Amino acid sequence: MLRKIFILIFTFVGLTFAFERNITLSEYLEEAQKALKIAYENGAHVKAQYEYGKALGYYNIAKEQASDFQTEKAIEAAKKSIEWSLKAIEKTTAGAER
Amino acid sequence: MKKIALSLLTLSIIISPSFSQTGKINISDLENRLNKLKEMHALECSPVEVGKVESYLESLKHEVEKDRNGEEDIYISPTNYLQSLDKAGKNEGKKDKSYMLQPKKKSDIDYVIVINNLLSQIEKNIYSDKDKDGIPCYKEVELGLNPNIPDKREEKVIAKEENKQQEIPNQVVETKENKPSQQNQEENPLNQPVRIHFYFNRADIKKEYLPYLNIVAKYMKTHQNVKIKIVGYTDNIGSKSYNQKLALKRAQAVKNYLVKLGVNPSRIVIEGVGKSDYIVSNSKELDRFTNRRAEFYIIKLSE
Repeated sequence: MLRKIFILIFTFVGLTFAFERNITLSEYLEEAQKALKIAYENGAHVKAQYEYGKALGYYNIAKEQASDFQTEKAIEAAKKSIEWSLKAIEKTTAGAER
Repeated sequence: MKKIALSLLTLSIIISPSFSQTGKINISDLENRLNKLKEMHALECSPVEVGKVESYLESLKHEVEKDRNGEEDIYISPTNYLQSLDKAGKNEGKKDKSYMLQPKKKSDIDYVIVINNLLSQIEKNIYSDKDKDGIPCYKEVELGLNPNIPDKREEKVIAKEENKQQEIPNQVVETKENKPSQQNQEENPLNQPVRIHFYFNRADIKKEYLPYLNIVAKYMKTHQNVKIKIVGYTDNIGSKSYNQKLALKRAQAVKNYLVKLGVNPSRIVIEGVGKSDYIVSNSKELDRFTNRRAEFYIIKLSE
């Protein structure tokens, strides 16, 4: 009986931990995707092609790592993707102002 | 039996280290390949792919550095992190500069495949002619031209042509439309520099140019006051007289095709220039291909 209770508690803790981690990862992926979308809508695929390419590359890496359950690496790649999307947006908007 | 077992054992010992060595991925090699392509103006000709490759290479390098520091893949506790920093500090002096990755996961190998595909895509884009003006992308960047906008030939060559135009009798006025109006440019297919390229020592028209020739023929049929002059050129291989004939043959081949489509032959003038008026130097095969061409010029009848 005691063993069953322990197993239940451990699985619950494990599941909630995994669930929380997954939420953060999916949020990061979602943010990276949103940033890419905004960059594309601003015309980064034409005006800031290199930066947009980097953002795309990191987003693909994030997705691949996520499918391999490499949570930390996926989050890291997603962060870099967001960073490069922002750089691409910055470049396109700066070009538009000139 | 014992001998066989012994020989197998020694064989396995000999083979195993080399096998493990070949199983490694050399990131430096991939990086060198990218750097060489960058020297060929990969950043200008294929920026998206360069960005992608760099992101993949950076993440692979990050893996190697993690391997060197002996870091855990998923979670690093604060004590482990401090230990890894300490290790990194100790190894700093004797750091190996080549990046060799022992693939542990399928994704590592997938990355290398993706990188190789992207590198060959970059290579293709460097040699491609996006604006269809006959000059490959890397060459246009070298010449300081925009690879996305069709360019006219170098000013020197244009000046030569202008001189030639002055020599032609008054009844017919040749004009190479250098700065046509925006509206006119859209309507007239001959206002853009038209070039048809040929294979080495051949005068037959490549299939990919036929749709454009069809447009030209259509334009000629609807604009009866327009005459065209087709000039054939060659590369620098072969004798002058042979190239002269080959250049004329190329111009003749284009004329024949237009006549076949219903254009009056009297409205087409041909000329073979041969070994002169090169667009680019003849140092590489691709450059020679660029020079082997036939070009169109508009001749408008004077009013």
